[in-house]
Amino acid sequence: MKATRTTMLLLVPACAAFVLLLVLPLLNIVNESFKFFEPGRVGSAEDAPYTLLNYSELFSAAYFNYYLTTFRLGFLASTIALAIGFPMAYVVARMRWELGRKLSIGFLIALMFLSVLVRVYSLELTFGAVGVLRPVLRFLDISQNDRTYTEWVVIAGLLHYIIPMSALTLVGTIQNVNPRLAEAAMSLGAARWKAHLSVTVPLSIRGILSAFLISYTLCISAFVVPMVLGKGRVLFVSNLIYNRFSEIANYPGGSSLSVMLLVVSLLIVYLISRISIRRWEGG
Amino acid sequence: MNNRTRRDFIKTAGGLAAAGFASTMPFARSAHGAAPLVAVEWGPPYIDNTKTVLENWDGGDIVWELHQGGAAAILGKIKASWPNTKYDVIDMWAPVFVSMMKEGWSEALTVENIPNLADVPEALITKDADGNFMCAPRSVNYAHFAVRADTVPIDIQHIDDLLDPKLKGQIAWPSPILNTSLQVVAMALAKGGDEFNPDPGWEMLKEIARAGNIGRIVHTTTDIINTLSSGETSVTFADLGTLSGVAKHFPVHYLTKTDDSIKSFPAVEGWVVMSNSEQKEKAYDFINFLLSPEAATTYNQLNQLPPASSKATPADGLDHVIFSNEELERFAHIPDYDYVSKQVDSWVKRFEAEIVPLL
Repeated sequence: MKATRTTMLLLVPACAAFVLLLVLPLLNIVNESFKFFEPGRVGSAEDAPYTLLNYSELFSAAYFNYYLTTFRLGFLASTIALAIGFPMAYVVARMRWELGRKLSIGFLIALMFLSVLVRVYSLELTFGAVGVLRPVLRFLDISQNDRTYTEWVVIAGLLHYIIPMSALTLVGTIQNVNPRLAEAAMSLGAARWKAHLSVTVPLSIRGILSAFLISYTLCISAFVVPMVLGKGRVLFVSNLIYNRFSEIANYPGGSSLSVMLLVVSLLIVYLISRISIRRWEGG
Repeated sequence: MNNRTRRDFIKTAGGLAAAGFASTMPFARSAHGAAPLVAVEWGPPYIDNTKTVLENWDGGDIVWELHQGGAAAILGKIKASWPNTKYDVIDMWAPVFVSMMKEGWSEALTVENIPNLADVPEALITKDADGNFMCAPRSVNYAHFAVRADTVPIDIQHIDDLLDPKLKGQIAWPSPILNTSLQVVAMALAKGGDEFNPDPGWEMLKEIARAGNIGRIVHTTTDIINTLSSGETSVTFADLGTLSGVAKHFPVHYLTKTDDSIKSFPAVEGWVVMSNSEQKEKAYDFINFLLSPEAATTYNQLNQLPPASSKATPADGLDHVIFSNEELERFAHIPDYDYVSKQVDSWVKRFEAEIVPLL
């Protein structure tokens, strides 16, 4: 009992910080999202009436498409990151050369320290309209003004960050899977690929899910990547939120977009978690 | 041998941390006699040219902050921290002067505290209901269509030329927050509308978007300079100061007196003093220096802008924005900036809902 009380006391600073820095600002955003905005003002007036207008504006095909684009590209990028990150993590986790493993992990960590601006402009200078690959793309008859092309460049921008992040998350997971289990499957006649798919992957599913959800969260909240590489044609909801808050000072409009993004994101994360756990663990 | 104990180290570190924290407190600023002036300025070429002029000012240190995106973006930052906003002076333009004034954030200026303001025609100065001067204009900027002459594939002679298939991917279209969407008003004017009836402009913008002629949506002045300079695009709608950043290295053709269908928009640009500034005297001196005939001449010649001060000498080669009365009537339009600034919110939403899906 005493230990529990001490533990509770130790949690007080964390809870206070959580309430002060997350809960209260979020409640403020929710409150603001229901306030009437008068164009020309900065934010809502103190005595502004409450309204559902900020939300009703979002129920249109155009805004549905912004949310769809954000979640779709985020999903694609996260899936690709897992497909690339899992083998990388496997190789690192099973590496017998100690120094090589440390160097590999160090390399992955170093990749995450690279500035996002350096990443996006490096891609812009490679795949952009005046990038070094322009002649190649022209030869292949790939239009750089094509929306699909722009979307793939945005996905590439997202992958820059989430591949090392996914790989790092998965290294620990794979290290905790006993390699002898896969070896046992193989000794009983299973092909190497089948042993991995039926033993290593299911045993790593919680780590895979974590890596996917972290990547997905980072993708759908990405701001600089779609802003620079999307060329104003591929916009994420975060870009719309920035415009509302920063450029036109429509705080209620920005707040409703934010609240909607939060709610839909939580719903998607919940559904993905439920489906994955049920599918792989029968939970 | 080092005799310092861990406790000594903690004490020293604690003292330094406390001193560092105290220096960030609001009261610490007034306690320091020579606190720097905090000024907000646009990115290059504005900031570079202003700094060049200020090399001869001996009024003290200046801490610079740059506008991010459109000039109106600063309003949100001020709102978030008011009345503890750290800015003393801000460079902005006509529509934002009005918003600042309405919120009570800008200080009334007088010829007594800024003597060189007397050289600026009163018609250029934004005033409040009591006739007080609420800004100190330094340039008359123009927003208009322009092309990079060495890369544009066609000779644009009419607003409808923006629909030419040869311009596929060639237009750097400003985001609706830039120029308070005057680019749409420009097309509306060509099609029988104006800022009060922008629908014809939006319809034409939809046609341009559908034609695939928009290569990039630009969000900042830097975006415009980069996309034109790199050759990614060759046509845009921007202000003179921004285009001068391109014109330093590449030939720029200003579509200011080309055809009745292509309008330019004059707008005053200049400084406001924050009403909560604790360094108003310093701010007045700063602005007075910049409005002096010598400084105004240097700045406006470097930036290739017509000066607001009647005693400053304009740069050579500004014929494209020196309008006779008849030319003003034909090629320029002075919008109701107060009205336009209130429409930006709905125009941004319209851009998001109707234009971006077509790109």
